Amino acid sequence: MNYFEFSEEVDEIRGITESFIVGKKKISRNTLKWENEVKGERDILFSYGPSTAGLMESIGFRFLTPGEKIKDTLIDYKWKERTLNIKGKNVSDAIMYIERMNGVHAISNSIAFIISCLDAAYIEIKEETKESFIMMIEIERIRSNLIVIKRLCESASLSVPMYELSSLIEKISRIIGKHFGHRYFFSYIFSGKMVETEVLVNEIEEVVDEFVEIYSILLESKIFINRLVRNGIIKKGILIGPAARGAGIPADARFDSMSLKYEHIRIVKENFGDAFARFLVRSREVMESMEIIRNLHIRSIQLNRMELNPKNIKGQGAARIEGPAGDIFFFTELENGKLKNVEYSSASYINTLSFKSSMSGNIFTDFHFNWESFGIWVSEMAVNFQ
Amino acid sequence: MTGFWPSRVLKKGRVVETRDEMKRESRVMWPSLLERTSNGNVECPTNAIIDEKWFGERCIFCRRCDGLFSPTEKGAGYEITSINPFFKKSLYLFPIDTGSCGSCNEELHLIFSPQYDANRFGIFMAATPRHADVIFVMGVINERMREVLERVIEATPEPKTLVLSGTCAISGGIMGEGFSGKFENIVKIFGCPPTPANIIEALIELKGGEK
Repeated sequence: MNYFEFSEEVDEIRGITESFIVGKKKISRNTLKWENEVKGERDILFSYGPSTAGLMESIGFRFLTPGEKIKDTLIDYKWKERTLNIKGKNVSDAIMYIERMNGVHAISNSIAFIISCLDAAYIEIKEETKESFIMMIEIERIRSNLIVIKRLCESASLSVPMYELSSLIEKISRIIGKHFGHRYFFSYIFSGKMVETEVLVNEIEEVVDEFVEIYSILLESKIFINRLVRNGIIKKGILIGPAARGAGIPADARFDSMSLKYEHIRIVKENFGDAFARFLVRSREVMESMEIIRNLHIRSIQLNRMELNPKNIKGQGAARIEGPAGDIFFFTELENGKLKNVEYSSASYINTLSFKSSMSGNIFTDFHFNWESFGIWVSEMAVNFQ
Repeated sequence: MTGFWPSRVLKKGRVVETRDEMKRESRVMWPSLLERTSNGNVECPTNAIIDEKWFGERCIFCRRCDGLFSPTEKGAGYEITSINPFFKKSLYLFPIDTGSCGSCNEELHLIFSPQYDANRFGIFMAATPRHADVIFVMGVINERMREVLERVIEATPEPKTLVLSGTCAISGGIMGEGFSGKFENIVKIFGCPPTPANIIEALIELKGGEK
C-alpha cells in the first residue's frame, strides 16, 4: 500500500468500513459502537418509511419523541440491502458491480476502486489519466450537487427553482450521455472511447452559468432561507465532505489524500453547520468544480484498458478520494489479479450518522430539509460484498 | 425575491419538447436498441444474448458485445401485456424502490423535468398506493422489500398495473433477483437505467395515447 498504513489508532476519522476505521493516512480496526437513546415513559416511537412519499429511496426511520421535539432518530438503512458478488472477479468485471452501488456516483466509486486496485500492484497512475479521472469526478460532482439542491427546493415547496434545476440536471445527463455513451458513465472506463474535452467543457460551462443565476435568486428567497437556517446544526462528531465544510472543518480528500491529489483546490467553507450552510457549500462547489475542470490541461479523455486492469496483481491496496458526498474509501486485496477481499466506506454512511446527531432537538416538520441537505444515497450504504 | 422567477422563465422561452424532439435530443448509445452487426461469440454476463438473439429485458448494456452488436440510439424498448384506455386522462404512479442503485429513481424524477413534462400527458405521481393506478418498481427485489411490495400491491385499487422499470426489476441483471410473482397487467421497461424518454413512451402506450 502506497497511501495507507495499518495502525492502532487513526488521527481524524474519514471513513468507516465493516472492519476498519479510516483516517487521513492510517487504517485501524473498527471498534466503534453506536448507542441509541433509551425510550422514556412519555416517549413514543414514530415510524416513517421504508416506502412512502417524500423519500426517494427505501429507508426506515423511527423518531423517538415525547410529542414534538425529536429526542433520537433510529435509522434502518438496510431495507434495500444488496449483495455484490465480486470476490473472485477481476478488476474490469468487478467494475460493473461497483458502478451499480450508486448509479449517481458511479464514476467516483469506480475510480476510487481502480486506484485502490492499482495501489495493490504499486502502479503509479499517469498524469493524463489522473486529469481524466478528475474531470469525470468533477462533472459527476456538479450533477450530484444540483440533485441535492433540487431536492432541497422540492422539500421546501419551491417548485419553480426545482423545475429549473431538474432541467439543468437533464441537460448534464444528456451531455454525459452524448460524450461518454451513457448518462451515468456506466461501462465507460473500459470502453476505450475517446472524448474530446473542448466541446464537453464548454457545454458543462453553459449549464453552470445558468445555475449561477438560479443560485443568486435562491439567495434572495426568504422562504427558502428561513426553512434551512438553524435547521440540523452539527459541528462536532465525525464529519466529512460538504457537511464538514459547512461546519467550518476543512476536510477535503482532494486536498489531503495522496490517492488523487488535486494541483489547485480552494476549499469552500461555511461556519454555521446547518442545512443552509450545507446548501451554500454545495452551490459554491458547483462553481469551484467548473474552475477545476477549466484548469485541467488534457485535450481528450482516453483511458487505457491495459493500464487500468493489469494482470496477476497480488497484494493489498487502498484509496481515499473526495466523492460528491464526501470521502470514498476502498481497501482491496487481490490474488492473481482477482479480488480476494473488499472493504468500502461510503460517504453516505458517515453522513447518515451526522444526520442522526443533527436531528436531536429538531421537529418533524424540519426533517425533510435536513435529510436532503446531507445528500445521502441509501443505495451506496446498503451493500455488502461476497 | 421569488418575483424574479416568472420573468426569468418567460425570458428562457419554450423548454418543453415535443415527443419527437425529446426522442431526438435525449438519444444515447447505451442503453438503446441493439442490432447485430457482425458474427462472433459474446460472453454476456446476464445471458442477454442467446443464439444470435438479443433480449432487452436482461441486458445491462455493459458494452461487452460492442462490435458484434451495435447501439442504434433508438429507445431500448418495452413490453406491455395490456393497454388500458381507462387511464387515458390520468395515470398515477406510486414508485417503490425495492433495491435500486439510485439511477432508476433519478431517471423517473426526470420525466417531470421541463424537457419531458410528463404531466402534460396525464402522468402524475401518487403519494400513497391507495391513490395509484400503477406500481412503479425499481431495483432488484430482496427478501425485506418483497414484503413491502406485496403490501403496496395489496393497497393499490383495481385495475392496477405493475411497471418493472429497468433490468434489475425485470430479471435481476447482475445485482440479484427480479420480480418473479404473477401479475396480470405488467409493463417491462428495458434499460439500465431506462431513459426518461423510454419511460414516457411506455407509459403513454400503457394508457392508450397522449390524453
